Amino acid sequence: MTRALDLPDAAPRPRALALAAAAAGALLAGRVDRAELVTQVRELCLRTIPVVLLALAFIGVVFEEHAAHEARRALVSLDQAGPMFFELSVREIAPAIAGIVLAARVGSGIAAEVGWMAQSEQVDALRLFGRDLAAELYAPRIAAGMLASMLAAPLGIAAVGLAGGFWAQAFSGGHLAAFVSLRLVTAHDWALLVAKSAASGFAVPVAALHCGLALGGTPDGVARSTAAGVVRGTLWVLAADVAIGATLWWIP
Amino acid sequence: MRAFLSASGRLVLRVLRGVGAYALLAGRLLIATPRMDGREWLRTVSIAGVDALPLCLVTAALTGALVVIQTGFYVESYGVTSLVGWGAGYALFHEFAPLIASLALSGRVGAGQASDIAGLRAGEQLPALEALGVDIDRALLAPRFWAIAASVVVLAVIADVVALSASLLVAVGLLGVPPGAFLASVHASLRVADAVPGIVKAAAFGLALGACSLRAGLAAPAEARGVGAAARRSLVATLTAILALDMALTGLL
Amino acid sequence: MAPIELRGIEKSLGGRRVLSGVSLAVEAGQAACVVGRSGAGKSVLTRIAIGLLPPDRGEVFLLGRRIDGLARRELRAARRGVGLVTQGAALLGWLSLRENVALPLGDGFSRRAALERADAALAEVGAGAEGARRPAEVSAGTRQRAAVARALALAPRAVLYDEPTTGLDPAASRQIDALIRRSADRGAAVLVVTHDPILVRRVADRVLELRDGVLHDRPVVV
Repeated sequence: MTRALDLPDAAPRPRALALAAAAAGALLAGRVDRAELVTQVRELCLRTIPVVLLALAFIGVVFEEHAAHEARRALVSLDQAGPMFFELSVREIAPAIAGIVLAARVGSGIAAEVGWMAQSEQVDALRLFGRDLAAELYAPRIAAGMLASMLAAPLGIAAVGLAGGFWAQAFSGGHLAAFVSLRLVTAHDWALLVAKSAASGFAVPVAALHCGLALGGTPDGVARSTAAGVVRGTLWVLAADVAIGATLWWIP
Repeated sequence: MRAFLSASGRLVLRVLRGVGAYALLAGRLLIATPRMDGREWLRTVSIAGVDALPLCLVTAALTGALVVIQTGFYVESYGVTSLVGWGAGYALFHEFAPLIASLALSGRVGAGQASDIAGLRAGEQLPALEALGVDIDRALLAPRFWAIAASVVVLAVIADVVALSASLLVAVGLLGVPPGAFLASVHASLRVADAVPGIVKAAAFGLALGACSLRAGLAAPAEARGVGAAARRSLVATLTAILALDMALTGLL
Repeated sequence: MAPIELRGIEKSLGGRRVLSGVSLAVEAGQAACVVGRSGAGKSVLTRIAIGLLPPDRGEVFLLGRRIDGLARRELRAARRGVGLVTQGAALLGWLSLRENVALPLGDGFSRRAALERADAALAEVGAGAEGARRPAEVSAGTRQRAAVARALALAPRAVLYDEPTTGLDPAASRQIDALIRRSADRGAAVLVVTHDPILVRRVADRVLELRDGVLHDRPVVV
């Protein structure tokens, strides 16, 4: 593809860290394009939350099946596992699965859109006209991604607990109440949930923006940046998960 | 009320059309399988399997670490160090290794295959070959389908090993479980038979991944923008199919 | 019956009438060129003629067999002995030129025989030296000649060319013109869809203009 808009300084492509820093700066300074923010929030939240709920409901049933199987084997009541199951959803399952779905939905959406913008030289045009990319392109997507993530995780917890609980009550002789019991959930668990959701919400859009900008200029750029955006986003979600889990391990 | 009825009617039709399309694709692939092009199979395995291997290794190692950090919390609370190996091994073999291997492949390979097929349609390669009497099913689709499925199974087995090794490292390093105790717990409570449900799941996920990515590539509009759309559609279809299959198979196995 | 024959073809795409009653017969040894503005439906015509698109109404015959409404497998059999060259070559990027040319040879040949035949076809279009290269490693003109070799390797009795010289430089275009003319001189029925006037002048026995969904005969300028 010939580039109609060849820039004299060969259009620098930002590195992921520089991009994250620029975006964080714009967000903290409140330099966010409002109209774009509204569009992205609508787009990304609507795109993500239903899928998170669906995925976590499935996962809730799968884990309940495992729990029921093990409970039968160890001859204990399934209801004893319920509160543990719900605690595990809060600290681990909901943030991890929500993060992976976020990487698939938000990540692919942003990477495809920005990759297309880079390929059709809209990004170069923005740079050429001296527009603030951090405020107009990065910050709205990252803010919307974080919002989607912070909304998806608590809703997702409810989905896991309710789906697992209903399944247990209907098919395994357990009780719904045990599977949505907050008895074992501590402040530590909530802190893990918030930290993990915020990290996914930030890392996924950054990875997707970076892949879109870096790969979008190539002929099959949109497809490549979409796939790479999802993969990097997933890796960052898992890495953040391990890092946060290990860090909070040392804090009682 | 009428709007609701017509909307649900449309939804039912859409689902039926989707199911019909997959059935048709499956039939085409099965008919073409006995005489499929072996070289294309090998080429796709080398792309799909080898390309996704590093990603699969990293995700498997992270997952293995994660499982131990989480079970470790309960181990610490109830003081049952001897169960860490069993807990990690059971969770990984039954659930996480196949899930992670296929999710990693759905991003890297599934989306890649979908956009590749969409690109071959946009670039007129598929219509040109069809017009020259080439059996696309035998030359391209069936080999790729089986290559993806085989890659998922192999990667799931590799993910089993890598994830369990990572669990061992984290259990020793973070929880201070003696390596001997971890291995003894794995050895005492896990049998070779415990790997079977995971492998069956991996095979089912692999077939779903192949079908969803090829179908997304074939259904996308044959133009440049369709290539990106194919990648995205393949991701969503694969994710849904894998989770639904996981639920169904966990009940059965 | 003519090797390529269309009778009363009608086709609408996206609510727009593209072809309204097109009839055409291309005889063996004849090269017919269809010209017309972009978007006039020329490519739709080729696609219908080779069975890639079904017509809304009308009958399509290839080598004397009616092909509209055939199932995939029968259609594939009916296309044996027919060649197609599209704009932009449409070769598979991961195969060498000779493997690309050998691909449609399929069942009748062992792999070695197919590759030998592919080498001969490439030599015939003047690309014999580059058979081992991948499409991305050769010029656009060579790619297009390889696409012609792929279409001609089975000695087809009908060949369709869809904008074969679009995007090529003049020298490469003239090589393609000569190959098209040669396929007609060897007795194939040739249908070319193009808006390249030089190609039309050098190749056509018969010129038709597609305007408002209908074919009009135009005098051949030599």
